[in-house]
Amino acid sequence: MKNIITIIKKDLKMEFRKRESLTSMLFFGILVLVILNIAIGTGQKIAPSISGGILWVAIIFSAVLGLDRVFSNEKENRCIDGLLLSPIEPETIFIAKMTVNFIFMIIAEIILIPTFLVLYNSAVSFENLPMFIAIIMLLNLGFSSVGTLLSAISSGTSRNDIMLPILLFPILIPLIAATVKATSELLSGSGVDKYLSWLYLTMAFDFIFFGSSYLLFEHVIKEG
Amino acid sequence: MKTLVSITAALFLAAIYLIFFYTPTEAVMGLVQKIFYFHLPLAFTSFFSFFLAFICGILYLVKKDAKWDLYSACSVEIGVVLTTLVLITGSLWARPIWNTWWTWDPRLTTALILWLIYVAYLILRMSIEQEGKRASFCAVMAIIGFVDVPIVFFSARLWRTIHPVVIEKGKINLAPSMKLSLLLAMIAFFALWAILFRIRSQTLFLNARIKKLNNKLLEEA
Amino acid sequence: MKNIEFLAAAYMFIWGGIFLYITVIAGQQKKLLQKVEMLEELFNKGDGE
Repeated sequence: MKNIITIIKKDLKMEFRKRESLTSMLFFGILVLVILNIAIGTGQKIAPSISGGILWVAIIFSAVLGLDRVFSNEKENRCIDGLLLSPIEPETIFIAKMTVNFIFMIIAEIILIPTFLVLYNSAVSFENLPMFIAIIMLLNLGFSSVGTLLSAISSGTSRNDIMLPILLFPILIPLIAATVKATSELLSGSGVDKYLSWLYLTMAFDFIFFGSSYLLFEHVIKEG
Repeated sequence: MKTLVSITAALFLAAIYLIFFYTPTEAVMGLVQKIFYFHLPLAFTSFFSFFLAFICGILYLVKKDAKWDLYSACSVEIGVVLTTLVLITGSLWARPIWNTWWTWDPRLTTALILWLIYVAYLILRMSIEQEGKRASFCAVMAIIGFVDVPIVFFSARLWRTIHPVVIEKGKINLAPSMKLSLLLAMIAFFALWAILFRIRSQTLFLNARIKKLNNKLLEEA
Repeated sequence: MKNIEFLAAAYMFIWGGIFLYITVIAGQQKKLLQKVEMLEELFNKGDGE
């Protein structure tokens, strides 16, 4: 537990000192939101069933940028070897890195979601807010667990920055589909019963992929 | 190998004979329905390939024997070829019957996403040189790719139940003669699969052997 | 005979695809076999000297 916190603190400190991935994540996310808004046509009312998808496209594209940095930072100075030589278990490294990714995603979302609500003229009512946060957290959990495993893989390849989205997106399709559906229902003001089955699906995804990523991480990080 | 090839050829000839001359043409869909006798076995064998890749991936991670990695790689490659054919035949079937090239039917969607996942696997395989690393990474990818299958399927099905589509697939009641043709086609495709797997695994083993010989040669020189 | 062109196209794709794949992998295998033979010959020569 102490080791987990040490790694998380180290990563966050490094990030806040250089601020390179968060800045690019946020900027890229906003860029996607703006471009898609223009592509659909400004001045038009965009239906919630479409804008829900746009929000998650922007968040996921920007989150991939952040994911990429977490391991390539370690690779650049061969820090990962030091980490592996230390008596810290691979599982601990996994949990720590996953938490860092999770935190990055939340920071990005805190900026991107209000930007989205303004640009796309949407609103989340006060009583829907807890469910909205639940949807976001469920996606973050699934994304950061598979993302951590696959970014460890992609950072070990020769073309690391293009490999990550290639490997990650196909696996994430069901999670993204479920989240988009739930968000669209929520944004159009439907009750929980309308999208509860989608939430169960994201929970199943999170559960299965957290488990398998946790177990498989050791095999990846030892080879990296 | 030669007997296997001749058995497969015989099986295919018999299957084609049954499909076209023994089984009656389906009343509603007409001649196009005959795609089905090859479409379904293709889907079955491709799914079998991915399942095998999953098992071999686990075995590799447990035993660290390079042979399992090579088997897993062959299965994925054959699976991708077969899934491509599944998607093409599915599309060609959908067009005259449902008047569309593509529908987000759960099975078609699952096939498409599987295709994407395993093409990603092949790209990953091409981009790593070191053998141990490549084997471990690919094994992990084969495992999580297959773990994704049930979730993909349920999400595609849920998508449809919430947004009902007029098209109903899989409601084809099979006459006994159709079942027989299908069974024979299935056996024929599994035999074909065995041939492909043999050729491909031999090739990959040869490749590994050449690398070893090359390294030895370099050491001596 | 309605829609026979779709059936024909499907068969063409299936058999075209499978035979193309077989030709490609069989071709690769042939090349590799030659290479292995060559390498082994080299080895035998090296041992003889």
